[in-house]
Amino acid sequence: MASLKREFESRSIVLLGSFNPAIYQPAWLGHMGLLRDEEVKNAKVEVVHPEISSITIGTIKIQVQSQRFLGITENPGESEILRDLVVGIFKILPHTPAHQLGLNSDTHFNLDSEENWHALGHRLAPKEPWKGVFTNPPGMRSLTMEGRRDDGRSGYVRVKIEPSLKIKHGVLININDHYEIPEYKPENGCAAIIDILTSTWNDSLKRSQLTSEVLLGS
Amino acid sequence: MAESDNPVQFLQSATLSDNLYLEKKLRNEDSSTDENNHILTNPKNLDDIIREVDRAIPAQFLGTVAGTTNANTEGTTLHTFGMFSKHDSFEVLQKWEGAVISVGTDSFVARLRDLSFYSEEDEEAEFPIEEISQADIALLAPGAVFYWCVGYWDTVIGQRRRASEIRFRRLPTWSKMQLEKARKEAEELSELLAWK
Repeated sequence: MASLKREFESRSIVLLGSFNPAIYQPAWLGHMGLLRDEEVKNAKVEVVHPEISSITIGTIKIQVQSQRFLGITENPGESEILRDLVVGIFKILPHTPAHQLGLNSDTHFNLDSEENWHALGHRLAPKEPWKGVFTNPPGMRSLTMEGRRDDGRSGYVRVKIEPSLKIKHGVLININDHYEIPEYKPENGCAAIIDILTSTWNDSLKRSQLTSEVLLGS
Repeated sequence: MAESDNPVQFLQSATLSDNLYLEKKLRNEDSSTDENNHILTNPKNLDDIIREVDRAIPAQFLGTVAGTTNANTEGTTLHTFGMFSKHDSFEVLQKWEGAVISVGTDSFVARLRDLSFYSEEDEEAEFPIEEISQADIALLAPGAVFYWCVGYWDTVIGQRRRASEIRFRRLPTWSKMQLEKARKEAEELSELLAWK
C-alpha cells in the first residue's frame, strides 16, 4: 500500500472524574476568554442540565456528565484548538477531581479495493485457527489489542480495528491512549491529568499515526 | 421492536436524523424548562437516556458518550462515528504550530513547528497580518502561539476549496481578583526575601 488514505478523522479527549455539567456553557467559555465572540454567538446548546450538558462550538463538541467530560472534533485541523480549550477549562477549574484521561482517535481509511480489504483481515486475523468452526469462510468483524504503556506512566494503549461503516472497502482504527493517576486523591484536583494532556499530546498523535502505518502496512 | 425497547436502533435513527439524540429525548412531551432555561425532565427519563447511551456502545459503534455507569471498567475509550450532524469537513494537508517572534506594520515573523510530523526542524516564516481574522488580531504579540492549517474544505454539497487558516491559542483570562491576589503574593514573597 503506497500511502494511507484518511477519509474521516476525529480526535477526542475524555476525562473521568467528578464534574458539574451545568457549568459548561458557551457564554461562560467566552467570558473566560476561551472562545471567540462569534463562536459563542453561533454555538449550539443541545442541552444544559445539572446532570448532563452538550454543546457544539463550530466543529468541537463538549459533552459533560457527572463522571465524564468529553471534548471531540471531527476536524483534524482543530485538534489543537480542542486541546487548548480543554486545558483552558481545567486551568480555570483546577479543583475539579479527574483521575483518568483518554486521548482517542478514530480514523477511517480507504483501502481502495476489496482485495486489499480482505488481505488486511487475513493478515490481522488468520483464518487457519478457525477451520472447523465455521462452514463458510469467516471474516474479521473487530479486533482489539491492548498493551501496557511504555512511557513510564500508568495506563494502557488500546487499538481497535474493524470494517468502516462509512467507506466501502475501508477500515476504522480506534486508538484509546489511556492514562491513570495512581493513588489519586480527589483533593488533588485535575492538575496532574492536565499536565499529562499537555505533555503527551504530540507523542500521542505520533503514536496514532505510527500505529495506523504499521497496521495498514504503509 | 418499539423504539424505547431498542436503544441501538433508536440511536441509529437519532444519529441519522441530525444526531440530536439527547435533545430529541429530552424535549419529549414531559419536558419543560425552568427559570434558568434548564431543560427539565423527570429523573427516570434522564437515567433512561444515560443508560441507553451506555448500553449502545458495546453493541455497535454508533458513536455517542459511553460508559457513565460503568466508567471505571469501560475506561476512556470513545467511538465517535455519527456524533455530529452532517457538516463541511476539512482535510488537512499540513499543519504547524507557530510562535510569534516579531510584529511589524503589515506582517509578522514566526517560528514554525510541523505538527504533521513531516519535518523535525523548526522553520521561520513571515505572514501578512491581513491573514489573521479580526477575532484574533488582539492576540497578535511576540510570544503568542498560533496554529496554521493548510488543506481542503469539502462542503456537504460536494464543493472543494483549498484553505489556509491561522488561529491563535486562547488562554484563560485572569480576573482582576486573581491578578490582585497574585500581586499580593508576589509582594509578600519579595518582603520575605528582603528584595527592594
